[in-house]
Amino acid sequence: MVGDNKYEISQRAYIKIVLHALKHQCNSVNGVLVGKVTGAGNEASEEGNSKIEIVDAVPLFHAQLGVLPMLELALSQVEEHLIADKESLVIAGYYHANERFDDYELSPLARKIGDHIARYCPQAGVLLLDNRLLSSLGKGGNKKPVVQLYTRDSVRGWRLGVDLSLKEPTANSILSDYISEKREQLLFDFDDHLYDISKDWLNPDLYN
Amino acid sequence: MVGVAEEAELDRLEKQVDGGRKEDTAQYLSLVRKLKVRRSEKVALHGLALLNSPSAASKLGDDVWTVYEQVAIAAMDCNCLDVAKECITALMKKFPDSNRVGRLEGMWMEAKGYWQQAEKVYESLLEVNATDPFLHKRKVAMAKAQGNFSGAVEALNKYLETFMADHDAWRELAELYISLLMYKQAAFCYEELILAQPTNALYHLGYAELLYTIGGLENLRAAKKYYSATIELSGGRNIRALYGVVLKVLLFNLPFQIHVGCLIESLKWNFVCGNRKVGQRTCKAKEARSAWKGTLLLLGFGRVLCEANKSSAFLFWPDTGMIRIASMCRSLNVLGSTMFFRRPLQLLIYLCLQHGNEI
Repeated sequence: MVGDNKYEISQRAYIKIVLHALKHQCNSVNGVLVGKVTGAGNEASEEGNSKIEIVDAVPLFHAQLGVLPMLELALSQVEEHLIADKESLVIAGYYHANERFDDYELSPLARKIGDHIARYCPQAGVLLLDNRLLSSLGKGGNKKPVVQLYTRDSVRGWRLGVDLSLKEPTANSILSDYISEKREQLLFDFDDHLYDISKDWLNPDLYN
Repeated sequence: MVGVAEEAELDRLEKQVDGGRKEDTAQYLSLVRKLKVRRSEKVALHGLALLNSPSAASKLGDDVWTVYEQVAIAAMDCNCLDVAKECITALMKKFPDSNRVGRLEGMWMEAKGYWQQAEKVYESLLEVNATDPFLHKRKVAMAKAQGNFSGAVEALNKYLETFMADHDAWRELAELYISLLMYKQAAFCYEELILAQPTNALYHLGYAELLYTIGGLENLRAAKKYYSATIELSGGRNIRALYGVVLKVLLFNLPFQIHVGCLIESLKWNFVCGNRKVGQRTCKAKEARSAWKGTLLLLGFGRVLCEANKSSAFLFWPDTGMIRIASMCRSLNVLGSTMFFRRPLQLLIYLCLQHGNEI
């Protein structure tokens, strides 16, 4: 019996994803999603009624997304941080934003990284930024998240999945406010950290 | 690739201009042009303000046309196509048959999405100037913008057959290959770059990352060498390279406890073999192999210690180390090992004495 996994994203993670993409408009960006997987049935299976709550996002790279060493380093650092944090959060997904405005496909690189993360968390989801929805955000009244969710099927690979729900309904309006005050300049990703090690990729002060 | 000091100066000027000091705008724009950074929003905003102010514009003299070009490109980047069109019109009035202005027109059409018209503009310009590198590169950029990566790769390869000294083009080709997950071809591009500019740390870094991505024992060993080269060329300031070496060492060098364990096991085995009466001749052959293995392991262990931490190597090799090895020999005699076993250790002591100073 194939149940639908429910995906819910918190405002914290959602805003970070969009701000990261907006900070580096000319590049593709990526990052990991951090969250909790709770399931009524067997948590290790792909099917079944699990609920995946995405609590936070860690922005990773905006240049040279396809090379491995820094990605491995970032994933291990994020994992160590999660273990030390003791809130029993795991790496529950991956997000990606394409370089071109009219590119709505999940690239082979994103699929590969998603596969890798799915090995550790079978219910992991991949979020792809939808530029059409993002550009219509300014017109207001849009309650849908501006990201598309892809979920993994062992037979067919990554497919455009079920609806993603926003945990807080005010997420889009807060996002619009942040965009107008150019808050993306305060966001640092792992690439920025590698360039200047004093920049914290955890971004603790972003929402202050 | 912008240096830290230059970037700091640029940020300072940007802050001044943002804060209202209009007199610094010309200097800011000129620095952006020199460093070739992409700060389109600021350039478009402040550049346009400069051009619209007659007094400031007249102070620029002939440079004003360069500023027109810069603002046009920045405006296209920010999707302010009307502003861009105005700048291009002004430039066309001043330079009616210019190749450079024609290129800007082509770019404007690209920005609008009129790909075929842009293609026609570039073709007609190429008929007059077949060797203009910018026109060839615009065609590559168009292919990339339309998502035709394989077309872009083909066009760029053709361009590089003629203009093989264009480093930016090699880098762009490497990026295209990486986005197509064609790592070996991307590595080839970086090889060309390193050959052309062997003192540029970033090319060594890029190559190391690609070798790591491709994987395999030899490639990982080579990656470590290139990371080390990056560290040397950048004076130890490149964090990616430092992390790269750490990752590689973690991947391959066994922890020291394991090394010591292997070492002790092999020595133990040597001693045990020597004392076992299995059949004189066959035993000696086996013992010979195990003894050499033990010796090699000992030497290997020393080398690993040296690589990782020079000071700890001295625990093993110099005076205190000699004493330790000498006492091992004595203990061997006590255990009653055969003559055969003394030789590898004697060889070892000899090597220590010979090479101790080098370490």
